[in-house]
Amino acid sequence: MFWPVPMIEYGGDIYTEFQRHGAPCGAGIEITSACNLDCVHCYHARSEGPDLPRAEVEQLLRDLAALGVLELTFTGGEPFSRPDFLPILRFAVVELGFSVKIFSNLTRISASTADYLAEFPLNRIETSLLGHTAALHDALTRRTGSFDACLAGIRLLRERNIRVSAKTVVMRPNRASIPEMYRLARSLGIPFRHDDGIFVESGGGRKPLSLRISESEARRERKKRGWREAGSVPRACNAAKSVIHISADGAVFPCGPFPIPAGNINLQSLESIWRNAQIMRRVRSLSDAEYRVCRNCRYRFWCNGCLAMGMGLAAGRKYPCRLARMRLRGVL
Amino acid sequence: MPVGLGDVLRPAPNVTARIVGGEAFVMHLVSLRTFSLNETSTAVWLLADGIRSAGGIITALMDEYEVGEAECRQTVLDLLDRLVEEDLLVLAGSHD
Repeated sequence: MFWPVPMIEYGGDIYTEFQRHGAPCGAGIEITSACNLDCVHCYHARSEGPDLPRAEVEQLLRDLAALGVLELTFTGGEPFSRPDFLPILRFAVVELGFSVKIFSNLTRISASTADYLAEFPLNRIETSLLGHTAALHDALTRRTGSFDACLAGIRLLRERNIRVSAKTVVMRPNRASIPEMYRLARSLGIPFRHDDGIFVESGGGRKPLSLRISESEARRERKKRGWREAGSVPRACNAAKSVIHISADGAVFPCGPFPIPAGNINLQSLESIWRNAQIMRRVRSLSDAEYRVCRNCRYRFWCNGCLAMGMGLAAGRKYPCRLARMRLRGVL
Repeated sequence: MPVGLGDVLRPAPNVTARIVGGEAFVMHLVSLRTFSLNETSTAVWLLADGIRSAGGIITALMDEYEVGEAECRQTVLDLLDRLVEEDLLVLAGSHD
């Protein structure tokens, strides 16, 4: 056999590399649909069945590793609400070698949990700060004490050198507090980011959209932050190309916010869904050129070509969005 | 110190790899640095199993590929040095 000189390359966009091989690089798992908060903007109302039992979650993790997945994000619900989350997490990192991120509200982090998490390498834990004061944050999570608990959780993790970052969604009630939230994050020693993307509830409910700031305000804010102007033509994303998402009851989606499942691991193998499910294949074959239909769409400012968000925004108004209508014809 | 022919190497703790389309993607779980290996580097990576020596890896590769001993030895030892430098492989022992 021909001998190509052994080469090693550092960095690069591994998600693109994985796409070249038709393999997922990143996976999101809603490890539970249970959550102890009731955030006003939450779009998760998806799981129809009970959470997958631990043995099935572990098999799912093995299947994801076999498909090639390297980066895993545990989300929910609130992952730490699940009683067996810690051993599942250890299994994912120590036994299967995933680089793991956790999206958590950090209200359930005790010193002993933080000690446990420090025993193996985590990519990072990401939390949401919805305000810079307890009054504002707790009003938006609709749980008294959630702000103080979150800050305590951040401190416990940082004391153990676990990477933590925070984010917020800009909404009408917290729009004036963004600079203070950045200051708070700095004082906690963690990175912070914000965005204005609010999704329609996974069941189709549009209530979260009422929290959205105005388009002119969002435009000013985006300009200030140097974000891509919505006037530019959107491009195809990683959904179903190098990203896959599984809900708490085993439903499989092209990405986290995507509203329609491609299959369920209780009925089909994960590999079969990834390779053969019609929705996966249609989303996967979406090319940059097809985004031309977004140019004159009224929703583009907010979705910026995100198929999942666009479908939600257009729901009930000649559902779905033009891009989805074109790409998912016969599937929806 | 450069890797010698008798050195036995294995993946470092906290390093993970996935083989996709015949190529290895290696990630250090602490530094979060990622590396992609071409086909021959992947073969070297898989042979660095904590049992074979560097010399054993070279012999195995020469059985598989059309390559002269000198070239194979040089390029494989260079690669192993680089993988050790990047904390992706560690010395597990020596057959010397």
